Amino acid sequence: MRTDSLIKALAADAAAPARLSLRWALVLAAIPAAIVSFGLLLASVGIRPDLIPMFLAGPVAYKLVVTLTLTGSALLLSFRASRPDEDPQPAFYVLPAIVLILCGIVFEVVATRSGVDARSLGNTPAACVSLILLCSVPPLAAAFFIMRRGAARRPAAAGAAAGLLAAGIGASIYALHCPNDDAVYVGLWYGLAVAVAAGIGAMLGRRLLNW
Amino acid sequence: MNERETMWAEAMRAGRRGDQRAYEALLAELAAVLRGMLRRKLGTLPAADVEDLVQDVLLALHTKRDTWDETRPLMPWVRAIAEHKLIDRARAHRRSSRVFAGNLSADDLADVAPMPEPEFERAGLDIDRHLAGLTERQRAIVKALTIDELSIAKVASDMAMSEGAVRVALHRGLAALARRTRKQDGLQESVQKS
Repeated sequence: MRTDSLIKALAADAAAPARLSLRWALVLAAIPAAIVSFGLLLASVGIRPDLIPMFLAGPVAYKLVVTLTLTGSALLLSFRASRPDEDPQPAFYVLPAIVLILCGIVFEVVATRSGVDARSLGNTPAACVSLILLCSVPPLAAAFFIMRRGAARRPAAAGAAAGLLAAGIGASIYALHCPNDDAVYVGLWYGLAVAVAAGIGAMLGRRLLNW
Repeated sequence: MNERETMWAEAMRAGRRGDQRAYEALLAELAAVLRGMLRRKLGTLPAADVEDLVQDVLLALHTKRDTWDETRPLMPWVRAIAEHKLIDRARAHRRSSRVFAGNLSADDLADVAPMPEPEFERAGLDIDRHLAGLTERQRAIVKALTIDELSIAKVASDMAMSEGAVRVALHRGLAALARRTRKQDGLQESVQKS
């Protein structure tokens, strides 16, 4: 068809449908996704029995601060990565969470005078990583559903951002169960799960976030 | 931001509010500028191929309008979309980077002489091909509004549909077209850098 004909059709479609911006759609979609993840957690291993006391004592609150910081950064990253005229660097956005992890480790080493020990490696790290990834699936699906509206300069980077976001939410949910409160453990295994989620997100992004 | 860019940004905003005329004028001007810039950059490519690319970019600019932040300059956004489609097409043609090389600099778009649409028949065949992927109704509506250049009201009465339904079908048809002009995933190289 002729270009001016195409332009006429595009102009006929001029009025933009009133809908939520991508930024807010992501935020809103995170809520039902987190609820589904919570359901998955309950259905599989349930929440830890000492949740309230351990929240008040510190360890659970610490984990949540780390995971929610990651979630917030990843949300911002996902939004920026969905635009063609921006090129955010994922590493920069992961930094706050990493700094918090390091602070936690330093604090623990100083407070308990022990470093990496048996508790750091944990009994079942594979279960930890798997459960975080399981709880990351609903938010990952939601993020991709929303981000397909975008126009990512680098679809793989946008996918990785979605993976980070999903893992942030998944890890937050998992923290409600996680029995191991060692800061090195959190850094190591939560970190691994986040990295895997980002990698999967990148692979999916390359295919699904094209435009 | 120069004067032309300011006007274009305003036209884009007007388009979002439903000002069809302003939006159509904007797209026509952008098409001419893109055409001039791409012809200059892709000198060895047949003019018809360049026109296919211009149409790809226009379709993308339209279907991804939401991704332009109104508080930011328009031209970097336009340029970024044009670059993306340029790279897509380079991969699809499996050409070596020589012809499609590099990013589009600000100079490419800023002062290039706008070029009117060429008068031959062959251009725009890519989009015609992609029409095959639409549903029957979407195809009929997109064709009526493009090739036949009918108005929404006329199409609505011809097809015994409400204008609202025609608009929805047009919107979805254009989105489907935009998706189909995306090149096959399998052709992408493993290293995705822009």
